Amino acid sequence: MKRTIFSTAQKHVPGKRRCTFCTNQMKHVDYKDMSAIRPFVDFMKRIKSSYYTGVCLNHQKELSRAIKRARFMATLPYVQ
Amino acid sequence: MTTDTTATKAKEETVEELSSAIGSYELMVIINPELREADLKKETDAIEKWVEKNKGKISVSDLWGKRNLAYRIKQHLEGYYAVFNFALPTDRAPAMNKMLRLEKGIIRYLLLTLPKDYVYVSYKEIKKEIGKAEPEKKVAEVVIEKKIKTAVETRHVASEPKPKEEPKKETAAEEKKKEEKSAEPVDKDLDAKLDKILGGNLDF
Repeated sequence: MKRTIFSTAQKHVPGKRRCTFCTNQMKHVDYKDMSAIRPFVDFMKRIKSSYYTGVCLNHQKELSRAIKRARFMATLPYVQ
Repeated sequence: MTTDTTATKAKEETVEELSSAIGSYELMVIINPELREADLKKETDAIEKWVEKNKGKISVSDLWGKRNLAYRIKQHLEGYYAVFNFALPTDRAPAMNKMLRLEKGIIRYLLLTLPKDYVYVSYKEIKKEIGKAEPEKKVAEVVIEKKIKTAVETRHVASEPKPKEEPKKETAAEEKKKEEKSAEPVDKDLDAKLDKILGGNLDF
């Protein structure tokens, strides 16, 4: 498996916003893959909004689901 | 009549097919960390056996091992993680949920349906990737650590001049002793010479 790089430093510039999951051609976000989830979580472990991360709506929904599953299985805390 | 029988047969077949529609599932389990290894195996084997009993097929059984939990679950801070991927008749899933709920060794579980084009990545590979990803960060960390070390060393030098002076004093004392030791025979020689000289003088 290739190592994918997830960047959240997407500038909010119209036309330049790109979803990292779309660019990596990932259909689904896995709740076990912490390297994929971690950049999209706040310091206080809240879900970052797609306004700042540039994730598309479909993937944002997948991401939030994955994060909530990871929280349930105690691989990610609810709050810090 | 024959048509009716065929129809009923077809109906039965369709019912059977519907009942035996197979779905692909993923199960993640957190097992009580206070169990012994033998008991842990019993728990995982029990799950596998249950699946095989109910006409399922296990494709993946991955033991992650002991991990710290992000928060307390039933007053446990650690847990054995295990992940299973298997195919199971869809009407057996609720029964499996019930079985898992009643199992005593299991602290928490998550039973999910899998997407069609899903490939399981084992925990070892994920760990490897994390290991690969870390060194890039570590280069910067190492530089910072070096800076801190040098800073600490300089501080030590600045803050601890006393212990370094003490050995110097010792060396100085030793040197003095050596000088004394070396001086004693010289003195004896001198005494002898003096005696000779004095004696010689007295002889005069």
